Amino acid sequence: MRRPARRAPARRSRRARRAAAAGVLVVNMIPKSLSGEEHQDSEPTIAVNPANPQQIAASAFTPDPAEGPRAPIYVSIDGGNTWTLNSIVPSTVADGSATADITVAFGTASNTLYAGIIRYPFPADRTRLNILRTKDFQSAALMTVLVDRIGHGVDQPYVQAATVASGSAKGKDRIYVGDNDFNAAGGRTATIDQSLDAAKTNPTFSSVRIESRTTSGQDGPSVRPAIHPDGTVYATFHAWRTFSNATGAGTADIVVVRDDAGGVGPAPFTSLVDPGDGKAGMRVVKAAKFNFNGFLGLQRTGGDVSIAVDPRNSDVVYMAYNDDQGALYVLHVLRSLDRGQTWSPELRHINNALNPALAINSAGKVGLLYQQLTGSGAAQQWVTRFETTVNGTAWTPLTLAQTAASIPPKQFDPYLGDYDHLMAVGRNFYGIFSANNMPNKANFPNGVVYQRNANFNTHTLLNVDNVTPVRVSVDPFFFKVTG
Amino acid sequence: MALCHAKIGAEDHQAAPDIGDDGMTASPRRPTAAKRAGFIFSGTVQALKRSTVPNLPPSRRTAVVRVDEVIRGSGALSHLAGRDITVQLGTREQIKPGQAATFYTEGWLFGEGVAVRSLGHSDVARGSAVAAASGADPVRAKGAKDLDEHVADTDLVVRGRVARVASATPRRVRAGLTGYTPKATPFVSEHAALWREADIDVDEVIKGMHRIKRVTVRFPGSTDVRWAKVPKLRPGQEGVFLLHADTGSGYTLIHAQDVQPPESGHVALRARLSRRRQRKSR
Repeated sequence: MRRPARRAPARRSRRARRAAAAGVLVVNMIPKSLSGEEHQDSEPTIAVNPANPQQIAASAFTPDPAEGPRAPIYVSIDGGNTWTLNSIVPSTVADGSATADITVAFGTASNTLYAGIIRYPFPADRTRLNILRTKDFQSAALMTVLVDRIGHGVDQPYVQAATVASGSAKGKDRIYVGDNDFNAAGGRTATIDQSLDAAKTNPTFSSVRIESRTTSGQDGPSVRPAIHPDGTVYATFHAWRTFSNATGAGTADIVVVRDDAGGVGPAPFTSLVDPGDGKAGMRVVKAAKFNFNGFLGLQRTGGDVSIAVDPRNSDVVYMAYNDDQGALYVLHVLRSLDRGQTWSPELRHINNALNPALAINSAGKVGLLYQQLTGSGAAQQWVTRFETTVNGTAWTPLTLAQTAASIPPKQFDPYLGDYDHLMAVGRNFYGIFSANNMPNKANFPNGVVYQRNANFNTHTLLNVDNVTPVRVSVDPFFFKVTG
Repeated sequence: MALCHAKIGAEDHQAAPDIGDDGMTASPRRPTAAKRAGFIFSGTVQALKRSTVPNLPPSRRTAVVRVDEVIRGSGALSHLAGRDITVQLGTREQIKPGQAATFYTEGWLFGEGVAVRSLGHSDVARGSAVAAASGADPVRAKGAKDLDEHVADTDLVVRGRVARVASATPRRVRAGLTGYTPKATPFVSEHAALWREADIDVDEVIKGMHRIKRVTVRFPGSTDVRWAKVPKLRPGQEGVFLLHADTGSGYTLIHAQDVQPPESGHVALRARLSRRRQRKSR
């Protein structure tokens, strides 16, 4: 197979080298050639190539700068120090040269990048799932379409991938796309679209319905898989039990499912059975309140979930979720040490925080990324924090960004994104979040590197001429924390 | 010298090099490179097998070209005049250092520098016809091209005024045309359109075969990323409305370009040309 690691990495800037040396690197990902951009680049995800961590792909609601028939991904080949937009995702000019959802993931040993997107155009409310693949994420070639499905619509595809390390399936890429598939019968819409050999020329996919109970008519959009190298795959989802069309309010069970053989077999994702009702999927939390029409600041809410499995021991799994508690939108973190059968009391309880993203590194250290709304009035801020723990009880916080909460004005929903993303490769954590891009060092307590033109003394973004001021907008920020 | 042929497009009066992705040949079924290209510029070849983008290594298909004039391009590309960019050539496309040409391209890489994919090139003299037809502003030329293509995709174009706006209701709408039955989506999604409907009093049918005085259209009220850029109609609003046939027999307004200013003569002209072509094809 042709390996894409053939291009020379760009030289790291002095600032980048200094920041990385301190163990924390934060990079504004908008390239220099796009210094004039003012788009709301929200809802980011990131994929580090485990076979070559210098290669990193990322996604956000960033349109093609050329306004062509393709949407871009972000590409780095120097470990995240510099970024380039590469427009290789199918899209349409009339719909803004972008996607309605996009997530990305690398196979662990295949150098192959996968993406799950909501593709334009789609008819009316029936969102269109595409699962895509490229074996060279830097090439000009359009990503290959592996799945193209509409039907009644498919929402929020969230892709994870792994290359099988041993056994008869060794070398095969398995990918798991969590999505909310309205084609599912009986309103049991939480789904994993999986392929057990996604890198082959014409891979087959199956839609595994992971909801085993009666719903309010459907599940929520958040379906998140997590893969362990031993073949264990977990997924968590927001299982809607009641919902009011009039108010957007409802209750959901936070369910964790598991498959001990990577989804192989006649009944995938049924390894974990809830003793309370004998059905597949542990109801870790019952009747969590949510409001699909709710907002925290300018960011809409409605039910966040995240899950991560310890790469040293697939018995150990952490999960995070949100619920409404009065006027508060509360983030909770729990842990299971017995493959999801029993769960701890909450290990973290964070008021008015959302977009939780969990990862566990090769040393067993847990990382938690989230964005919290703090303060009030004009002093209100979005604070993006990364916390780590080695025992689940003592958490070490790191503030990555703290920016004015109502600047810039919202261009569309979601303002910051319905999710952000965190992953670990070896001992290092890699993450991505979206935030106000005002060039102010006080906004980034652990430092930041901008590629786009900016004057940090006057807190002004500058266009490609390095003179003309540019308005503040929401940008994606990459970060790496050395473990 | 480019080994390609150029011809003047009969309908849009733009130079349209009849060349394909390889820079040499064209499929008669495919639009010409000039029509497909989102970024057209005149430039001078600086060097072959070179690159201005750190992430993109030089190859036999990369060339550094100085942008002399941007003819058509998005705002992110319109500032490139006087700068060197990287052009990835078609598989059989040939240029030589010092050569001046008009390049028909699509955007590709945006990093420290910019790289574009060539759909073909022509000599500057022929390419200048594109510039003349497009006008001086490359961004407006890009917008006009996109609008041309969009008008061709519409089913009904009318000039008129919004008489009424309401939430879409599950009743059969009696319009001057035929009605439709807007259904509340049975599923809840952050991408739900949250349909509203509007009656438009029609002053003129610019495209479409119907003689109508009023048309009812659906438009999304949602601020989700999918729908936020689609114009939100309000009572009294005047304009040229580019409408798309619904899966029923009604019409929807679903793209950012679907409402144009009432004095939009460009839209009217393009729509009439599109209608004329439709008639001829019958």
